[in-house]
Amino acid sequence: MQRGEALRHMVDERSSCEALCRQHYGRVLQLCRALLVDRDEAEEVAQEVFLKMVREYQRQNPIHSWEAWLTRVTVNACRDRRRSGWWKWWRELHSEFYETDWPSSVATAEEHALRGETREQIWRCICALSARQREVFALRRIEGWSNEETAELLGLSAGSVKRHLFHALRHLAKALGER
Amino acid sequence: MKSCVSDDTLLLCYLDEAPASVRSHVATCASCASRYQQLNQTLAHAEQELQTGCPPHRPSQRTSFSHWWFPAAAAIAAVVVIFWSVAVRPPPEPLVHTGVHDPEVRRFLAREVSPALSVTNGLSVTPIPAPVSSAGYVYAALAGGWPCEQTNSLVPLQCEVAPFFFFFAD
Repeated sequence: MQRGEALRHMVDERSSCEALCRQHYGRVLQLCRALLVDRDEAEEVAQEVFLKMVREYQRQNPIHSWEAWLTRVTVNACRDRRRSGWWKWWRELHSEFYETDWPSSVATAEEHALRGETREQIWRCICALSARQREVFALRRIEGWSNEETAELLGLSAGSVKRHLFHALRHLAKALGER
Repeated sequence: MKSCVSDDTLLLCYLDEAPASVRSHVATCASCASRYQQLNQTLAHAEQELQTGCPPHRPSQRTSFSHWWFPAAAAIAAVVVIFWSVAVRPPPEPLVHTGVHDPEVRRFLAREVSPALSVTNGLSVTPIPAPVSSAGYVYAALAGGWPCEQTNSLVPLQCEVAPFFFFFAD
């Protein structure tokens, strides 16, 4: 009887952990993409984050909000990744993007090229932001956290969050408005 | 508010942090409304791309890096090293004789080490051999003794005819 309950508990736990992964994987992956501006690195870091999540889940530590926990762990993992490959990061800042593999639903080649150029410029603008500005922008405008929540997640004051967000948006508006 | 607002103020409007007077001006002024709409469209498009899009692939830096950057850097480094070693490098400094400056060490060397190095007590003195003149070799060769190197090889001498005669002597 006890063995059956333990097995059922284990299955429930595993299924809930998988559900948690499915629920948050897309969001975490997109956050990694915005913070790293590299799809391959983003996938690697997202997998690392979910590996940590599974370990934390198995430890059965009380987590108040998995969403906030995952966001915090993702931001830290992206910071670690940037620090570990600083020379690679510097090298990639001066490289160009490939736009050939973007899916396109438009008809003409001219529209396809124009849309690809716009996307490339958007990602290049994100790449040109400082790390802190990028984190604030991603959490506030992509993830949808409030100023106070973003400040708590990043260990900043709410005023700093506002200032970083304003500078990031001004940079984006200037760079994208000059097209 | 009659004059049009700045771009930064429009940005504050976008973030919902502008005062009510500014918002009402932007709503009524055609120029500011147009600028605000354009700003809103630009930033919304960027945010939409970042929410759903994927960063494009980058070209493989490893191939470009390894194909031209590394050999070029190695060649430049080699040229610089050769140029430096040939033209720029200063001549080697002469060896500096470092004397002993410590008076105590100097005293020890003078009293103990130098006499120990040059001591001759107890050594058996052997006389230096006197140089042998060439005539000695000639006499020795004619008498059939040693050495025989300076004799003419065409003329057989006694020492070469029977060099081991004492083996066969009765």
